[in-house]
Amino acid sequence: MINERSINSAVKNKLKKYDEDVISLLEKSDLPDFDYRHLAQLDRLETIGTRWPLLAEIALSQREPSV
Amino acid sequence: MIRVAVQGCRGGTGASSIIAGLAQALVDAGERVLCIDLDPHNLLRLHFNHDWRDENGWANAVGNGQSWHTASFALGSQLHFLPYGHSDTHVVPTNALHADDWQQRLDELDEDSYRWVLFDLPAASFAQEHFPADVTLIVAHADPACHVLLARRQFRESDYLLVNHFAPSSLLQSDLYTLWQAQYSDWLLPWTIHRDEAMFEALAHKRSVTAYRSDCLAAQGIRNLAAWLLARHEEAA
Repeated sequence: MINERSINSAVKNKLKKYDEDVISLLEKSDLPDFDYRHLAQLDRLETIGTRWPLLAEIALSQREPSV
Repeated sequence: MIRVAVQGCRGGTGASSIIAGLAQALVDAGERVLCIDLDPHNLLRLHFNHDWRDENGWANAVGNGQSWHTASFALGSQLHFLPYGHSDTHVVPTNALHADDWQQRLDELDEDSYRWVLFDLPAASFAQEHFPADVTLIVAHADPACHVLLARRQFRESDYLLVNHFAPSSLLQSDLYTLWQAQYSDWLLPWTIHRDEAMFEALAHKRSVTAYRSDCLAAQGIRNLAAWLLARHEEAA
């Protein structure tokens, strides 16, 4: 009989295994780290740039190296 | 004595209204506060029920060779304010706004007289970078003009950016706020002061917004600011 405690334990083990798998994959493939948390924000910022030309112009000037 | 300078990113951002509301919020929390108006427009006093015909202030006093704090006024036992005074700039010596002079003037005060000294700095032209403040709040509207001016500004460690009159239903304001969250994450305060008609009505009633309508959205934003300052300086102490 499966009780609640054994289900929780099974879920935890599964999650732990998932974490370990991801970590080991990253380590094995030597993938570079990237800022995945801000993808939604980057999308939004890109949209803002297309919507308002002045904001895009300022953002561009801030990216250019100062002479 | 904790020195807080409030400066508009440009004119008309509501810096004086925020100072007046903040002073009242700090007094409500049991603090002793002195407000000093360094803006020649001489408007801060009007938030404190002062007679608009009375043009006495620290600038006149300094110009006439008197002590700078002779023109201070009391509003209850916890709140004092010092108007700028006559707005005719030739009365004011050119060095009267000099940061070193204000450091000396503050040194003249008894350390226990006030826990908070709030300065209303004039916008833009005033060289605030050497001003003797522990915290400088830069007040901005989420509009393109402030965006341009902020892009030119060098932020210091003690600077914080506060968005006033924020209307989240405006697409442009919402976009600018998102942009600032990304660009100025180290300086942008994590709440805004919402656009609220009570802010304008308060001045028409010659009161601060926190005294005029303590339950309004703008007053809530200003109380957040007071709570943040109190917590910040509790930690520092």
